[in-house]
Amino acid sequence: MFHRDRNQKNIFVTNAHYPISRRAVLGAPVAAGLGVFGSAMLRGDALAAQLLQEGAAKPAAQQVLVLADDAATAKVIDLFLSAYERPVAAASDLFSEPLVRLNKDFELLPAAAESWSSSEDGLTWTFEIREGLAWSDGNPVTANDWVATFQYAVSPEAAWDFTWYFQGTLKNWAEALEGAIGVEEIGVRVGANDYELVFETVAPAPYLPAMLLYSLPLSAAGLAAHGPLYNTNPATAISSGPYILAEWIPDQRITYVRNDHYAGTLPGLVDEIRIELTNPDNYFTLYQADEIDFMRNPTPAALAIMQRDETTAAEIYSGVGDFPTYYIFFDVTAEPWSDLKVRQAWSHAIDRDALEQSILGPNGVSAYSWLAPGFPANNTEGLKEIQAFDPELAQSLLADAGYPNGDGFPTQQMMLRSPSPLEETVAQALAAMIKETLNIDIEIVGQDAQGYMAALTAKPTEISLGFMRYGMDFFDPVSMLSVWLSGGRHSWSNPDFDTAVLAAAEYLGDPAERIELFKEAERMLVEDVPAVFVYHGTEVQFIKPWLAGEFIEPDKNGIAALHFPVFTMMSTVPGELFIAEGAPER
Amino acid sequence: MGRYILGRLLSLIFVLFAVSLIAFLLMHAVPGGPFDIGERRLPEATRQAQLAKYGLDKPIYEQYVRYMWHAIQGDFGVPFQRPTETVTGLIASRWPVTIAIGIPTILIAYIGGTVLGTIAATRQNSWIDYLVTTLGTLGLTVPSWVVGTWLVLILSVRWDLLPTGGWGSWKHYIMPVIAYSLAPMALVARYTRLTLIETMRSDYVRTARAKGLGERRIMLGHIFRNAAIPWVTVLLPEIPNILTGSIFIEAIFNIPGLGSYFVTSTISRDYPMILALTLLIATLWGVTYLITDILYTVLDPRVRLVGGRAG
Repeated sequence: MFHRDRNQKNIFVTNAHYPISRRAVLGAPVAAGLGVFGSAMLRGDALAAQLLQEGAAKPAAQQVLVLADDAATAKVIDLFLSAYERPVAAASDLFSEPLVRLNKDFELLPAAAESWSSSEDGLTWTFEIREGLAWSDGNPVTANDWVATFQYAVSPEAAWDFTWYFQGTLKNWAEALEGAIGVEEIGVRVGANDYELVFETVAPAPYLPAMLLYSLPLSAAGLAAHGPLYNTNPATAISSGPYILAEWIPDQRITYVRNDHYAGTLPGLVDEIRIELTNPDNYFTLYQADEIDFMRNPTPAALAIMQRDETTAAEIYSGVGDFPTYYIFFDVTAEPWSDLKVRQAWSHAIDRDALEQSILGPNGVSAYSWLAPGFPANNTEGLKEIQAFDPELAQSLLADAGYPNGDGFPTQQMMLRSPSPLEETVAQALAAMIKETLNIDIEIVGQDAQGYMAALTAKPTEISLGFMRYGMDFFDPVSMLSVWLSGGRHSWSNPDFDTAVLAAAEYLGDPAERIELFKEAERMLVEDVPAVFVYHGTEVQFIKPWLAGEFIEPDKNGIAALHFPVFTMMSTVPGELFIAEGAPER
Repeated sequence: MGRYILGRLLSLIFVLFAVSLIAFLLMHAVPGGPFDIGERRLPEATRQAQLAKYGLDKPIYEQYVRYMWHAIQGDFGVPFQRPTETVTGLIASRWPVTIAIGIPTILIAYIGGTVLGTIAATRQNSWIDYLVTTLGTLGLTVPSWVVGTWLVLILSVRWDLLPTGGWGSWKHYIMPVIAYSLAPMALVARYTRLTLIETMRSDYVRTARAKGLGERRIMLGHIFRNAAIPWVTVLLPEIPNILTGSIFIEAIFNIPGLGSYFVTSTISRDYPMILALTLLIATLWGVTYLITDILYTVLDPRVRLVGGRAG
């Protein structure tokens, strides 16, 4: 299918992931006219030089990428200071290299680590750090930087908001958090030499390399000299990544420029990254005024505006995001949700296809299970019937549970966490479907994220019925399935499921067999209906036509978008994105 | 007069203590804490470490006493939202931005509104009166964020004349000041018109006219002076509102001012900021009412602030 772009060049549009009817808005413009990507082996400066020579990219002085992030949550920049309050919506994690990174096919590639291996029992993992990497203060990057970083992260002084991530995986992590042992006793240490980093785990952890996507170290010297906030001030900023902090005016702007000391394998193609700190409600206006180059998760109204015009419709992309699943959950420990029949009735009362067609559009695809298409161990086809839309079955199950035609069923409040306009619309549609099929009244109540999470994770939970999302942290089924382990996010508890997930997570044999074990665990989850799986989000993005490069070519599944985790050293994107002709002067 | 002002300032201190106590108790009563973020339940040890890091693990009365003790010495703590700044530093850097938008807003709103209201009052039931009244109603009923959004859509997105928002050059003032000043200008215009018309119909104006005084003298010496009293009562207290900014204006035009913090501090349960901002507002209101009361004595010789009889 061909599509005319703004410059009237023929641009090939393909997207195998979606039905033809939506192709017009889900295009994947391949920069076919550029013809420079045969040299995929070239990276960084060499590629940039070649691009310039061929006239495809703008002169280096104008390689300025401008993004937007929420001024309220840009509190720090480094991951090990806060996972949730850094400019992660735009560009972060550029000041050092993680041990591993992902390409757009979600393949795990070496980054700061050249290679890794494990002991036979899967409990000890050794990463060989690439020699020659350097911090901008002149110090070499060594295993000690990771050791110092992890020790800081587990300390009470850090009170890091992401400690749960390594809980249950790294040896002595929980004990050190509780202060029972010193931070130097956690399972992260320097190996035989300065460039060997050793991780010890509580149980066999074949997923550890994938998990260590989140391993961008702080500078041990910077931490010692200036404390953890050294990267919030250009005067004390230290980087071993391709960029370094040049400016940070809170509530206004963050600017990263090239780090001349960078010695890694992924020099970025753009010279400067500017992050406009603003209110998320303004992203679309900034995008329309060409003041930013990229945004995601637009409101339905903004999407409709973009779809209306053929030129702007070509800027709409639909990716996989973090493979999120949106779901209705129940507090299964209390009436009426403790009755499986009630939960099953709800699961059969949701017409996902209607939702997809009438509301979601490019924002999502129907979900019948937890793991999204494209995510390892996904089994949509195998599990589809368990929660399939079947209004008659739904009604009879509800009658069997003692609520014929919804009689006597208490009116429900369905709680939403700081909902986006789309989530609100979806929730209203879900309530209407439940009312129509089961004759149960639902009131939709939105709550701010802080109050919501406190109520949800309280023991016992204070939310009886809710609608929310979860997306992966790393590309392994355990990242998603562990949400449902006992004592976690929800009140549902199934010891068989716990055993199955942990057995799969720790399985050291054939990876294909390990995937099958996860599929069995997921079946238990879907059959026990602690949640009704509604849709898998397919993140809508707006990308200006002048953002060019390999990043926008379709992945192995035919999906073209800026892939998770976007512009960060955890991804190959910085080496694949440049500013082409047509960009405004910056 | 001096004693009166001193007494009022002393009573303001007690008011501030009361306000701080109420705000402190209320904000701790709201469910959720500053660290209930993220996707999963934090390990209990981390929750405790976070509470300890900001002194929230102490009994609530101890937290309050500790906070006030430091506050008296000028230390309002570190805002949870901005660990790299202090509360006083943050207010010192953001408030001037809000004031920089607020002062032209006040000038335009009050001068423009007074002129329009006076014209409308002196030409009652003329086309200009109807125009001012209609615009006044519009200005009061169309919210500033609607005006702001339209300004951005037309002047920035459509015509590309001004940046959509931000801060740094004179261009960044134009749209926020227009959007922000319309509602107070409408209020001032309507109120000026109303009080002037009421005063013009009063007996003493009729008497002055009967004595044969010139219209100009009647207007300046009798009407304006008398109309100023209700005008000051109603309109002066609007000023602290404008000077502390508007979340809508600052959010739409991406202005790094203080206004947004009144909302974000509550949402993120930023206790030190909530308290500091509450005290700031309370002080501004206290001082504004004091100034209003003093102005009464200037405007109306019958009003005495302490002792004595009016007369």
